Amino acid sequence: MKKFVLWTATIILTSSALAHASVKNFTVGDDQFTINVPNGWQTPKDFYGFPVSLIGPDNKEGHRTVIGITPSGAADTDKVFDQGDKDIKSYMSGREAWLEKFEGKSISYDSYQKTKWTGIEEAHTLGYHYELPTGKFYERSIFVLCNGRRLYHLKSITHSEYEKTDNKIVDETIKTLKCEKTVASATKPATK
Amino acid sequence: MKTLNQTILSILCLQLFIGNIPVSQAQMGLIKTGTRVSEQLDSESSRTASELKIDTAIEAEQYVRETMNQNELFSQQCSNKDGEIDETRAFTLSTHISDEDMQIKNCAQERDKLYHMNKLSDELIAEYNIDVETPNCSQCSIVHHESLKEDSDATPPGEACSLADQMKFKKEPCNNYCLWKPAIAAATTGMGTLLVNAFTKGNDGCPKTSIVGQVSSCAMNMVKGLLKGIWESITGLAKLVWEGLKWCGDKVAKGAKWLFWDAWHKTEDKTATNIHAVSQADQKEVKDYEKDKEGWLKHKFNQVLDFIKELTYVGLFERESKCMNCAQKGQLMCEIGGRVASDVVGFTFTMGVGYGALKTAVTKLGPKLAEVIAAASKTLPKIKLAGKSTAITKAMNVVETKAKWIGKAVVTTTKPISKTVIKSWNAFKSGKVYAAIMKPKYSKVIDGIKLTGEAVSKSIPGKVVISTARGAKDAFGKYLAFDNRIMGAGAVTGANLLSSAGIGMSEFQIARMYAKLTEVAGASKAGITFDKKGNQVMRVPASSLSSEQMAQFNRAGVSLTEVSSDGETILRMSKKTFRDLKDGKFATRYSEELGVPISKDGTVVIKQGSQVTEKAVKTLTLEEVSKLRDQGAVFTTKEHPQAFKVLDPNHLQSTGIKVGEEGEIVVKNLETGTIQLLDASKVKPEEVKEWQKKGFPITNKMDSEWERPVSKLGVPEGDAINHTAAAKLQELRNSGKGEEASKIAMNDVEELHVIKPSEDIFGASQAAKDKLESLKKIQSKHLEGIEGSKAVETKYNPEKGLLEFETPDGVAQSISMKKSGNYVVESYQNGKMAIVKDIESGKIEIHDFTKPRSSKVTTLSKDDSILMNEAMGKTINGKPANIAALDEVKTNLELNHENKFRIIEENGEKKIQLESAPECSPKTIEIGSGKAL
Repeated sequence: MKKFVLWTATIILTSSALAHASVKNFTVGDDQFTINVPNGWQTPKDFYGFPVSLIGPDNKEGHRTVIGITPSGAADTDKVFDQGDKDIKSYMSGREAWLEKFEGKSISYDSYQKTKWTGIEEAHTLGYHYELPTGKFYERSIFVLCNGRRLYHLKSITHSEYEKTDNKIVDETIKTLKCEKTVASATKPATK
Repeated sequence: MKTLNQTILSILCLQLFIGNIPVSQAQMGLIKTGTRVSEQLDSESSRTASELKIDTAIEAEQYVRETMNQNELFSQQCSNKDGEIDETRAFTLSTHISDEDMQIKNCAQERDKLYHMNKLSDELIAEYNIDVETPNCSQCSIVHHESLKEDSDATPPGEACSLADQMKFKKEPCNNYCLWKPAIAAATTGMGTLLVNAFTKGNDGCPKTSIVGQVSSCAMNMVKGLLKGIWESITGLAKLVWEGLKWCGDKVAKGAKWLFWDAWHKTEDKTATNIHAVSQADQKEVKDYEKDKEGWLKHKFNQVLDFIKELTYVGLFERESKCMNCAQKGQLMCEIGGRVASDVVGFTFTMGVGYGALKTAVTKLGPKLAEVIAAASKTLPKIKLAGKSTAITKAMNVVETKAKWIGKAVVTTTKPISKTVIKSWNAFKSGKVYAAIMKPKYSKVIDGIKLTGEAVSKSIPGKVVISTARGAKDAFGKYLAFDNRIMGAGAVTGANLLSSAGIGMSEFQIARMYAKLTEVAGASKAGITFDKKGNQVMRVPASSLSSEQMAQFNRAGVSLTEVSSDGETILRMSKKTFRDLKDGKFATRYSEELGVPISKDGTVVIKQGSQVTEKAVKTLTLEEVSKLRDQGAVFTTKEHPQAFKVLDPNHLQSTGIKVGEEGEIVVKNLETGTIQLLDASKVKPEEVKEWQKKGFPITNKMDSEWERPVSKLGVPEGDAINHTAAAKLQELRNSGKGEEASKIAMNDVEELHVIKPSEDIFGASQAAKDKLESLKKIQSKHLEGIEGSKAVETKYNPEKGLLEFETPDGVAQSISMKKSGNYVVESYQNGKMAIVKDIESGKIEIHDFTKPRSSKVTTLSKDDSILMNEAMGKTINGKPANIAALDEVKTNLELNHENKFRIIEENGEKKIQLESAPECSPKTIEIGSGKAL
């Protein structure tokens, strides 16, 4: 059985963009995580305020693909995303205001998605394409619930020139994020 | 282990004080426990830098105790039997000072020193009280990252965010608390100095002390902007996360979901902004960061500082301020500085445009950028801060005054002041000695920052002993330690970083050296000669200039041009100035020097209770003004509508609001979003109470934290140009000349580049519309007749926000437009370039499709827009004038930013001319001797 699992994992890894990824353990807020870091990516700690960031290779545009992870401080997803369209509209209006400030404009918004994967029991994803004077970008905000209690904010950004190649890597990388069980989480009840 | 956040905070502070080292090593280092503060301050002047080393910094309580001791000593030697101060007596520091340090001073000098010491002690006591009031001000610093979590647990999990919590969150008191303190300190010292250096470079002949005053106060804008942009971009993320969502995250009741959304937006904004910065860091930068985080941060701040320097030196100032008076120049510098900091640095730096790109842009397009900034400074909203608490107000005052004082001593307050000392101090304060010493007196510390580096450096080997510049780095660190405590950062971290920073020292040194120079007492025996231009030249032993003399010289317009190798200061002045000096008429030529407004005829209106008097400003002295202020007098100009009305100070007393010096109040109407400047005497208390009930912020013009109301001319109230325009308009309207008033309004509006046809510009909107209509017609005609250029059909795509059109060559182009408007697009050079004009506003953009996207749009300045508007309607010598003009505009912007274009008609022939600030130095140059036409 173990051999089968190993074999399956090997097949999956070698066929993905993360074939040469290394596993990184880190702690953000009260929780411990692991994530597969693609080969050639840097993972500085506390860089520009992100407790953890994964930064892709240098590129011609000078805009590297980045995944940043921060604790949101919020803990109850039901209440955070409990008003459906209103929450989404709020997100959109906030992004529009931000773009206006930086003389940018939105191109399109992704629809809201609620997903989960191994190690993350709940993930809420919002994203949009926009244009700034410095280029076009694709940005996503993914709120993942860890240990049934705390919500962490993953933000990714990709320059439009590298969307085709890097979005796949970002997707796969994010889905390797696992929230480890902690002593605290085992002893403290969830707030939901 | 130091966290990054700690480091960030420390570096922030370091940056704020770059070039800004306000105390000497001696002042910091040699003040040992048990020694008298003043002895150390006095004795430092006889030492050299190499002899000095850091020992320990004085602590707050010790300082207060020493202040009281010094007061006692002073009282013994300088008070007569009635307890009054006799300033003519000699004062000797008689305790444990070695012979070489022994100094005899007069009581006047000692009083001056004690005045400052008492003030600082007062502030320290006040500060301790602030601490008591806000013991858990964890929001102040991201260093308290962990403790923040604890604080936020104050509201039990699962419970709704209390109203009190919501209000606390909404007000964000600590944000202001933290931002203002370094802002003020830096504004009055380092940044001010930086700006002064930039400023003096291109403005000879302007009394430099005046500039210093203006810039010092105005530099606050710059620092605020800098803080806003840089602090938040580098440090704000974690802070926001904790303060934002965590504050109310899972506790938000459904009814208060907006609170969550607001916090969410902030977090999204910050992460979005910062991720751009991360995105543009290359691998090397990340490696550097991981290797040496402190070094990386230092580097970042150095970049910002360098960038600010670049911007302030590109010449924008020289051009823009050419014909402004000193007050206007100061204001402009302030505005440009503020805009640079908040809109350019904050935006571009954060968004990762990057220093390199910016530097290139500045180098190449400096004047153009300057122009944009200058224009933006007039139209963009001012930086706003939320309402402040009493504690914040106190803190602001503490730091503001401390910054002025800092040249004398630095106090670390790592320990709180004991209640015993507070009690003793309060008892001492109520005594006669304190009252006598604290009679209003102007500080001389800040007055004198005006020498060039060269002049000062030459003065060092001479007779002037420059003590305050020594050990600046270390002293800087000590000061930071003090300020860090307030901000919640690790004092040691800050001091260590600063002591190793080694950046931006020169500006400060220059400033402080000069400040010291002005304090050197002694008699002056000026040798007087004439130079080739007939100017009087005084050679004064530098050490003999008293601060009062120096201040007087400067107020009189004397320029201190150099210091000779033998230590003599050379003062140059016109014959008239010399006569004035000789006749003693030099005291108060400049109203800003006195801090009073000035009427057009040079008078100031002084209101004191029921008395209203008018005096020529030049007849006033600082002492008189100080005395008058102390007696409750307010100063205004005769142009002010309320000038000769006697104010009733008690009129709105029941409402608790404070009426401004000109009898005004400023109300922010939260319902309409407008800010109104109102005559307090016409406002009923009931109205005020109604506003208060609605939560409208009410303040007055004296409160610098508030936005100034924007006049109908589109500029903030209080701007010099607006005063002029408003005065003209008022005069004309009063005399029934409405039409003429409209024209003037229109001119002023154009000058200010704020054409907004939708506004009712004092009834001039119709005139504006007519003019624009006429331009439109001319342009249509023009477009029909110019070869190689034609109007194109445009279509606004609201979904994409694009103005789409097709060039004559059939090339599809699109231009991003914020909103649908009445645009005319003219393409030329086979569609490679386009001129887009907003018919309504007259604003013109040049789109160059041959350039990289980020730099393809150029928004023309006011003057160039006018030029283009004119040129677009004319054919000159058979050539399309707009193309010629455009090329010339571009050339001109790159080659000679001081020049302005005009199209004139002489003998039936049209010419494009460059006009260079005619009112300053009249000259008109035809471009290429008319060949270009």
